Amino acid sequence: MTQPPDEFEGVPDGRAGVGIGPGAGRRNDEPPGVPGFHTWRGVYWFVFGCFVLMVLLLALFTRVYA
Amino acid sequence: MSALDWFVLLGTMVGIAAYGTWRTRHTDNLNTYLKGSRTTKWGTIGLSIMATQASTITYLSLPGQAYESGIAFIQNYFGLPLALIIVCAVFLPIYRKLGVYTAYEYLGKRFDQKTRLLGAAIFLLQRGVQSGITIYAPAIILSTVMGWSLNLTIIFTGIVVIIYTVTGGSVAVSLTQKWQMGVIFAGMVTAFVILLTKLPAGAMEVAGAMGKLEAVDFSLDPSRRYTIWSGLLGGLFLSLSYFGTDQTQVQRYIGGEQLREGRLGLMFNALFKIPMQFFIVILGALLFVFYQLQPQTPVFFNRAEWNRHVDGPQGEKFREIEARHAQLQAQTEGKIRAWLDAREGQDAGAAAVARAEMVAAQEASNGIRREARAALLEADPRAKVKDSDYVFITFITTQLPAGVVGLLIAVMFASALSSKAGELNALGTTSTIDLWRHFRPLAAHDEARNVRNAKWFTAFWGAFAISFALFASFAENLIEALNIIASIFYPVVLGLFVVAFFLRRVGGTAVFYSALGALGVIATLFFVGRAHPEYNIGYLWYNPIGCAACVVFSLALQAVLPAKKEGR
Repeated sequence: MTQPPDEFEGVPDGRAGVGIGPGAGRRNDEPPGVPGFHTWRGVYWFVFGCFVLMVLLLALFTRVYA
Repeated sequence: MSALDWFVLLGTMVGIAAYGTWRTRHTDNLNTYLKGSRTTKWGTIGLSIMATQASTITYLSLPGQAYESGIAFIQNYFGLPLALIIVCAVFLPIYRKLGVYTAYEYLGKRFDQKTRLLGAAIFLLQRGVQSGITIYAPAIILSTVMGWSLNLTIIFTGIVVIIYTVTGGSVAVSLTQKWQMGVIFAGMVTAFVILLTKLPAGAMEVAGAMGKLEAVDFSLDPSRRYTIWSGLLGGLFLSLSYFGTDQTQVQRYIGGEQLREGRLGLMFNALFKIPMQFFIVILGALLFVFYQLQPQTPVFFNRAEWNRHVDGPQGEKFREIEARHAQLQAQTEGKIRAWLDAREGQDAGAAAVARAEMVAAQEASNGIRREARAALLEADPRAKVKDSDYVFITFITTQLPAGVVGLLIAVMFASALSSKAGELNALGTTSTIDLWRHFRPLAAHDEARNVRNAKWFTAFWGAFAISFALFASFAENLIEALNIIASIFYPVVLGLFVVAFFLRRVGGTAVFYSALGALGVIATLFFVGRAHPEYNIGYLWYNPIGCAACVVFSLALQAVLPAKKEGR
C-alpha cells in the first residue's frame, strides 16, 4: 500500500525519455524531516496505523452508543 | 442580524479577501501565479487542500444529514487516507519531477496530445459547471433563511472571489484559504460549545438510542447506502481521482520549495479529515437531540417554503399538521426526560420500558414530519421537500447570541469563497496551459502574456460560474443532471492516470479510445439503473468499475493495435 510493487520500479516513459512512472519519486526521495521518522515509508505506515485506529475507535463508538 | 453580526460577517469576509488581494498584488511570475509561492509551507498547503475540498455544503448539509439519517455518512471518508498515501507516494513525486503546471500536462508527456486534451476537457466541463453550483447551493439556502436577494448574494460572492483570485492567482488562494479555515474552525467550535451548554447530561445516549450514532456498518447488504466496504473501496477510488487527478487539488500541493511540503500537507489531511468530518456529523446528531427537547421545533425546517403554504388556500390543513406535531413533540420531550431519569435509578426494567416509549414517541413525531412533506408535495408537486439543509442554519439564526450569528454566517461564506477560489484558479490554469498554449505554442515562452491570459481565463470562469448560478435558479433539475455527468466522468479520468502510471506498454491511442469505451460502460450502468431501479447501484461503485473498465479496455486494445499506431 505504501509503495508501488517492485515490478513498477523505474518505469520508462515512451516519449520523453525520463522516468515518469511510479519509481520516479522513490529515486529522488528526500528525508521527511519529521522528528522520529527517517523515511517516508515510516510516515506512511504511521498514517495508515492512525487510520486503522480511527476506524476501530469508531466501531467501538458505534458499539457503545448504538 | 444585528449590527454586530454584520460587522463580524463583513469584517471577516471582505477583510480576508482584501488582505489576500493586497498581499499578492504584484504577482507577475508565471510559476508563482499558477503554483503558489516557493516559500509556502506544508501547514498552508494542508489547510488549502482541506479548504478546497470542503465547501459550504459540508458545513450546512452534513449536520443536516446527520440530523436526518445519523452519522453513517462518515464511512464515505474511509477511503480518503489510503488514497492520500498513494497520491503522496506515486502521483506527487512524478508531477514534481516533471515540473508540470497541470495533471493533464503529464498525460501529454506520457501519452499524446489528444489524451491530454481529453483529460483537460473533461475537467473543464465538469468543474466549470460545478463552480456554478458551488456558488448557487449555499446562496439559495442563505438567501431563503436570511431574506436576502438570491441574485445579489450570488453576484456579491462571485465578484469578491474573482477579485482576489485573478489578482494573486494560486498564492492568493492559499493565503486566503489559511485565514478562511481559521474562521471556519473558530465558528464551528463556538457553535458546538454553545450547543453542548444547551443539552442535558446523557444527550449522546439519547442520540444513540434513536439510531443516530451508528458510525460503522459492517453489513454486506449492497442495498445499504453507507457501509464500511463501500466507503473503503468506493471512497478510495473517488478520493484517488479527486486528489490525484483533479486540478483543483493537484494545484494546491504541487507548489512549495520542496517535495516534502506537498507530502506533509497531504498527510495532514490524511490524519485530520476523518476527525474533522466526525466532529461535524456529531454536531448534527446532537442538534437532533436538541430539537427533540424544544417545544418550538418546526415540523419543517425550510420555514419560507412551509409558511408559503400556511398562508395559502390550504392553510388550515398545514396548521392542523403543525398543531399535531407540537403535541407529539411535547410527548417526545417528556419521554426523553423520563428515560434519562429512569437511567439514573437502579431499575433496568423500568429504564428499558422508558427507552422503548421514547423511541416510539420519536417515531410518531417522524411520522408527522413525513406527513408534512407529503402535504407539501400534494399542494405543490414542485415544492422543495428536503429540509435537512436548513437545520443547522435554523439553529444558528435562532439560538446563537449576537456576534456569533455573524461569525457562523461568515463560516458559510468563507467556505464558499475558499472552495470557489480553488476551482477558479485551477480552471484558469488548465485553460491557459492545456488549451491556449496548445493552440498557441509560439506564445508559450512569453511569460507576461501567459500570466495575462491566466488572469483573463480565471475571470472568464468566474463570470461563467456567476451566470450559471443565476441561470440555475430557473432550472434546478439541471444541477442534478450535471452532478450525475460528473460522477460518470470522474472514474474514467482516474483510469487514464492508472494506465499512465502502471501500464508502461499501453500507448496514447489505446488509452484514448478505452477511456471513451469506459465512459460508455458507466453511462449504460447509470441509465439502466434509472430505467430499472432493481439494477441500480450506488454512485460510489461507478468509481472502481469505470477505472477498471478503462484499464482492461486499454490492455485489450493495446494487444490488438499495430505497434505503429500505439501513439507513444
